[in-house]
Amino acid sequence: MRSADHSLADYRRAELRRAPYRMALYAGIAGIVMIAGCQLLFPRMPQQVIDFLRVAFHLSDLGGVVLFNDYAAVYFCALFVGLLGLLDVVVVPREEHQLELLLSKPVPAADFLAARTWPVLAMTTLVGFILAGACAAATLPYLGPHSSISASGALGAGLAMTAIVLVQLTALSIIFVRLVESMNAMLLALLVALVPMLPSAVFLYRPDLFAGRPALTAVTVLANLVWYDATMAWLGPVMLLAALLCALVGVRAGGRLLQRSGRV
Amino acid sequence: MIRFMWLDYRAALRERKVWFAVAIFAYATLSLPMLLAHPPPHVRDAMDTWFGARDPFTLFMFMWTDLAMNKLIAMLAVILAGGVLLRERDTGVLPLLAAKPISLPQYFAVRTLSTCGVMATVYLAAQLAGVAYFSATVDGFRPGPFLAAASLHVWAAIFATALAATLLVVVGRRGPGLLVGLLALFALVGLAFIGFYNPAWAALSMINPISLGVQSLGHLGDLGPAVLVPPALALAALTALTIAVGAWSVRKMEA
Repeated sequence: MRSADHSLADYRRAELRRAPYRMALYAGIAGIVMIAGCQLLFPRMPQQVIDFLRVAFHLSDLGGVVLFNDYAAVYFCALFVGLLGLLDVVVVPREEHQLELLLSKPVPAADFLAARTWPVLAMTTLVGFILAGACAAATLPYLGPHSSISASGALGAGLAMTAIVLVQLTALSIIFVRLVESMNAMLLALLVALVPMLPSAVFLYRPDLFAGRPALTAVTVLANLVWYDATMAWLGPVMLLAALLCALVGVRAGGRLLQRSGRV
Repeated sequence: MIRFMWLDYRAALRERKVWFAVAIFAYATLSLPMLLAHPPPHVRDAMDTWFGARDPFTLFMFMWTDLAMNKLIAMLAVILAGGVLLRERDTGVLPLLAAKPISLPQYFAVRTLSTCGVMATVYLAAQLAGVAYFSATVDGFRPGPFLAAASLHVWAAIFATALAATLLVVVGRRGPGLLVGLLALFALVGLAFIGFYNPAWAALSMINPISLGVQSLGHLGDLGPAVLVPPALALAALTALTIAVGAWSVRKMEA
């Protein structure tokens, strides 16, 4: 039994070594470039553009406009790392006819899935952390007595974005267990990726649909990360912890599904 | 080669992902009048600032192009081009193709061109359906400028498809290739209107092929060959160049 545990630990370490480190590095760099780009571009935009975004998303100042766009960078870069890694867990090996070989090892299917999924989620969280830190740093030029944003709020909001990505990835990791083609996985991932963005697009063009519905607006429109800056300072880390717990349950569920399905 | 391209085009039109494309275009067409129903004042003001017109048709065209068509062509290009060559390699068909009198670069070029044809077909069908639907549901809708703008933007859709196919074979693996294509196209789409937002950057924004495809929005009152043909030709040339890069990159692909 002890030797089996040792062998499983060795296997987990081996999977950890093939975590998407390089992709996380690239995504982290891409995210920092995007955040730096927002920092450079927006102050150089005509005032009408800033005013448009400010009025449309009920933001108080330029700092809020910049951060609102920074959070999109956190979302897409963290999601990019996670999706890329998740495709490599089951879908791509199955598509390339390697899954049978991988599952023929004396490793239970649930452990196989967990050993491959957790490094991906860890890399996603790491990228989210780094970019949340970059968002906090991005607030520095805009801080002041009348500023609508704070470094702690931006850090919390970046972590909240990371939490949303983790929940999406957890859901996808369960569904990916049954998918045969990376194309279908991508289609599904695209739809899931767009869901948090849609209410903000509707809010831009049809704010009347949100009038008199403050709770709906607060929960669905992503500018809420700026509106509730002080709350995000504590809510963001709490959301991240909750998302990690959700991932714990989700990865186990995915493992059981893979074990039960016996499908290669 | 032409016969092969025709057969591939017809086979591709029957694939499940084309039905997905049709469904997503239909969703965009049906939902747009709802989004357009009560535009807030700041949106109308923005149209005046960016495009020099605050009429409902300009707003409609901006939303149709930016919110619907640009996002859809980015997504659908990756989906439609997602199987070019790498699916043959991953399913072990490549050695069979090697025995045929067609080289891999030629095969890639033919498959990509037929995929571009599928994109153009679905795109133009959506515009024609849109003319019928929007004429009945959108106040101030003008079919002529709508179709003229589509005749330019369809080249952006074709370019996006060629770019997605090329990035896929350059990356060399389907999953990562699809994601890199998606990221690249969404970056281009995200910056497509930046020349309108900041006129000082208008010339620089022309290096973005998707920006070339949306140029008609600045000239909706006087759309003609002088506005439409130069960017369409530039997009056609960029598409050919992109396919050539993809064909060059697959010349040593191994089964």
